[in-house]
Amino acid sequence: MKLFHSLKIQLTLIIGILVVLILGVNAYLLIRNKSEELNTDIYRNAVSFSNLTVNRVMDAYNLYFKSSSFTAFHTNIFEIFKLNSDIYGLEIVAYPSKLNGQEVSLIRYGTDTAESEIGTKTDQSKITDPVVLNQIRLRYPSVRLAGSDVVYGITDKGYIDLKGNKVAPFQGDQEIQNVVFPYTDNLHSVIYYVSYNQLNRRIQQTSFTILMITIGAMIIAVIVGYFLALRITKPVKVLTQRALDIAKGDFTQQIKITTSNEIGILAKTFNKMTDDLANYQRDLIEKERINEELRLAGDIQQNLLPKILPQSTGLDIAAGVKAAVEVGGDVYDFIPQANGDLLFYIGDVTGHGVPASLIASITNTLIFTLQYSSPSPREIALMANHVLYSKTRKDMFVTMIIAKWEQALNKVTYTCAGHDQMLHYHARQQKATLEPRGGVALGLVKDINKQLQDREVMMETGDFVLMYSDGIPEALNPEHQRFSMDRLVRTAEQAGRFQTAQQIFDYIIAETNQYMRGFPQADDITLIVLKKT
Amino acid sequence: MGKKGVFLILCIMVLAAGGIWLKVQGGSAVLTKSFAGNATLTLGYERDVESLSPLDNSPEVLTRTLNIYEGLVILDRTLHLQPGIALSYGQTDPTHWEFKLRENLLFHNGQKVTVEDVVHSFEAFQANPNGDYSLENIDEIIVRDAQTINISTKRPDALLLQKIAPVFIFPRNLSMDQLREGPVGTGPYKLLTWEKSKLLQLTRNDFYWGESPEVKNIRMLTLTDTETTKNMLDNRAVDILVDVAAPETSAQYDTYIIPMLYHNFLFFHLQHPYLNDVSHRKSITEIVQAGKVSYIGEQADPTLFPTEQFISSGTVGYNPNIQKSDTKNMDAFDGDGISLSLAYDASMNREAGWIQEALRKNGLNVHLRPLDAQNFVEAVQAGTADMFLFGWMFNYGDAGEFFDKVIHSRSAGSGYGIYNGTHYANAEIDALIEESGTLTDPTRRLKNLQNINYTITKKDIIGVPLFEVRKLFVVRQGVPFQPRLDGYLLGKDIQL
Repeated sequence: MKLFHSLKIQLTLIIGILVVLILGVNAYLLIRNKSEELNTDIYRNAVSFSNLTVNRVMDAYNLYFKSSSFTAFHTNIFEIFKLNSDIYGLEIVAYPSKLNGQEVSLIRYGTDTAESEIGTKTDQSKITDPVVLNQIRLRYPSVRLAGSDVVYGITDKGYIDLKGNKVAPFQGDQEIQNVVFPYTDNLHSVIYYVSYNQLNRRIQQTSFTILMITIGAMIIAVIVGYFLALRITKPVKVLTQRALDIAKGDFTQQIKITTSNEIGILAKTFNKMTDDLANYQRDLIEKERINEELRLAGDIQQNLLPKILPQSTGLDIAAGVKAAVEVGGDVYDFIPQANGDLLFYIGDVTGHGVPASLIASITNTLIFTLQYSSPSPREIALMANHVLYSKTRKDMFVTMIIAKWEQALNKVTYTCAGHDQMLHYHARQQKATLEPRGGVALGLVKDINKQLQDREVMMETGDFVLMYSDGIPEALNPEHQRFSMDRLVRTAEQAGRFQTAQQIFDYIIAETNQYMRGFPQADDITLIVLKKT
Repeated sequence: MGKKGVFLILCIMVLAAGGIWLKVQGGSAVLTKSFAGNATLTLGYERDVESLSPLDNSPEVLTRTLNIYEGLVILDRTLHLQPGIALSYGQTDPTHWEFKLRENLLFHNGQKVTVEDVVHSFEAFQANPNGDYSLENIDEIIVRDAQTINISTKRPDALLLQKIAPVFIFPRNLSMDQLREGPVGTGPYKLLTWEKSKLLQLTRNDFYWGESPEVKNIRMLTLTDTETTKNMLDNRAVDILVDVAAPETSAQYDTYIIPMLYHNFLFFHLQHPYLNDVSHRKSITEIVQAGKVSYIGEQADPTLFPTEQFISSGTVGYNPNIQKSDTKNMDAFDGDGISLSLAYDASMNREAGWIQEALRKNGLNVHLRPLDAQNFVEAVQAGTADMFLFGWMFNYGDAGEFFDKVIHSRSAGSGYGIYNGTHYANAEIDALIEESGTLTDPTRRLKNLQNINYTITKKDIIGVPLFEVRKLFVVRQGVPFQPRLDGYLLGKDIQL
């Protein structure tokens, strides 16, 4: 039932049930104790009443009833009845005589407002109830338990049963049916019939009163419980609504709960959480914006890289870059020249991200522009250094190899500006060698004229050269070990078996990835393979 | 479930609580389902009344006015004495009584009950020439203070309290004419409307000093027409027919015959030359006794019971040793054409005719003298007839008053023998009667009264006991029927 899922209803019901339980148990114990107490009172009163009135009853009988003065008899007996409202009837019994062979009932008399089964009877009928008969014959006052044949005879020395045996005293806590009291003439007994109706009515009235109090208390408890529950659930409801607002992205509302209890603390925490979430969302949006810009920057950078590798006679080319972040600092490009020659370069800007990317873009533009200024890679590098040194921060520089393939001479002329050594695979010897390192990174110092020089690599068929960024030799595996130059050389030698530059490229990249075994890439990886065909 | 749901639960709980509360409050009404919710008791009476005067103590008036008026003391339904307007009372010496009135007790009209009202009421009763109140023994009524009066008697009187119980207290500023039409008392019921010969309506006195009656309204219909009565029964429009002459038969109604302590008898004027002879009286007695049973058979009247003594059974003074006489064949008795006059209340025409006929057969000529109630009382007091058909109501179940007024020899100013139309005078009996008035030992007093009864019935034969008259009630099934021992039915005694 959904109804009972409500905390408000649960609390209200729990409080109501608790009140009813507490009052109910109290009432039960109270009524039970009172009932036992009153039972005892009724028993004692009935016995005392019988003792005190037996003479009056018999006097009224002898004086008035025998002389048919029933008006006076009624008046006297009613006076007696008025003394004890728990006695609802009496019966005068005569002992056996010459006229009567057995005990006979002379008169049965009852108040007509009590149990209706007893009226006034004067039929002198014989006593047929064997227990009552034995009570009469006991010749001691006796009481009979209600709904039972158990009789307690009351003597000066204690209680006896119908056989005259001593028994444990009767405490009076059980209901009795009658009191049989012998008259002193030794000819009659009077039976007093005991009613518990009044007691039961009182208990009933008390029960009704308690019921009314319980219902009243329950109503109050439910009302109080409801408002208590409301005090708890109302803020919870507000919190729930606020959570829904937050789910919809509304972080502007604050919860106004001023209580200092747990609910208040929860509300304050909730408000703080809302603030944090709002800040987080702002940061997230900012980050998204930056990421988007980075993505755009990356796209721009990607557009600066050659989309289609140039076809050059006698040369098979493969190249690619795998940036560590959205935008990277690695650059490369192939710029076809006249006569089938090819100007190409690889560079690595210090650092990563947008600054490196910006420098890379500048560098790309510079080289593309400077190709027209000089045919010499060294000259181009010197001019580029001049611009970069002048226009960029001093801590930003670019290592670079600028090379030129001269098809007619089967020669690669290059200048190295602080970049990793070019690797030359000699197909004939199936050996790979590293070209000399040298030069200074572009943009680092003002004049690098002395540090740069053009070098040449002669290419035979099957030979290939590798130009790469430090992302390859410095690639780390999970054990934080570098891929290393040696491994690159060996890998290049192993790649010598492949026919195409792309196969060589793929093999080296695959080997690098395999070595890294999923360890995060720390730096951009750029690789250019030029194979002499 | 929101606020509406909780509100609904609360409403249900409040309604449940209210229901239980109503059940508790109305618990008693559930006991008599047929009577439940009907707080009005409708009674039907065959006899009409012209007045609701507090001074009128005829049974047909009393059965109505006992609901309205109260005396200093009252007799409850078992004829046990209870405090009435007097909160407490006691005897300061054998002839002096003191009564303390309830404080702030109000008449139905809102007037406060004062000792002056009490004295005025007693004086009105004593001065009423038509009254029959047994107040002759009262010597003086003295106001002690605003709440206390003393009553002194001429001689010790063990039955004084019973005798003053019918002395209703009423406001002294209201005339008797006003009270006849608009009774004002202190009783549990007050007058609501009265359409004479049709309907008297009483309603509960909400300021009653005692326990408030359970029946709220009493409608007292006068049903003199048999056809109307039959229709009322068929339509269940009446709860109880009170003191009807013949049992009305109708489904869903039960018939009850209740002793009412009323007795009638034929008295002889003992100074009549013929009746002066006890043997003549005995013969007449035997003739009448012999014909009584056949008379009852002819009348088929279930309320008549033959009796052999002057005291009604159930009354203190009834003597169980007075056995029924052997019925003798009196055919041989000849009255020699003696003429005797028989005075009687006209309502007893039937019985008088029967006695006339019974005695005529034995040569006794009876001249009937039917009289109205007033003239009949005067005839009795003056002893102006040879025989009287006489009825007596043993109001509080005791023969003492009857012996005082009817049997004791006439004694001017003492209150003794005021209805002694027989002129019976027996010094021994007088002494026993006077002694009985002072005896507090119930055994000795009973013995005295029984002896007097025996003497006047069997030895001196001052008349012929005729019938005990009982009351017949027709009661709708389910209606609690709780008549008094004296046969009256009062609203306050009906317990639902």
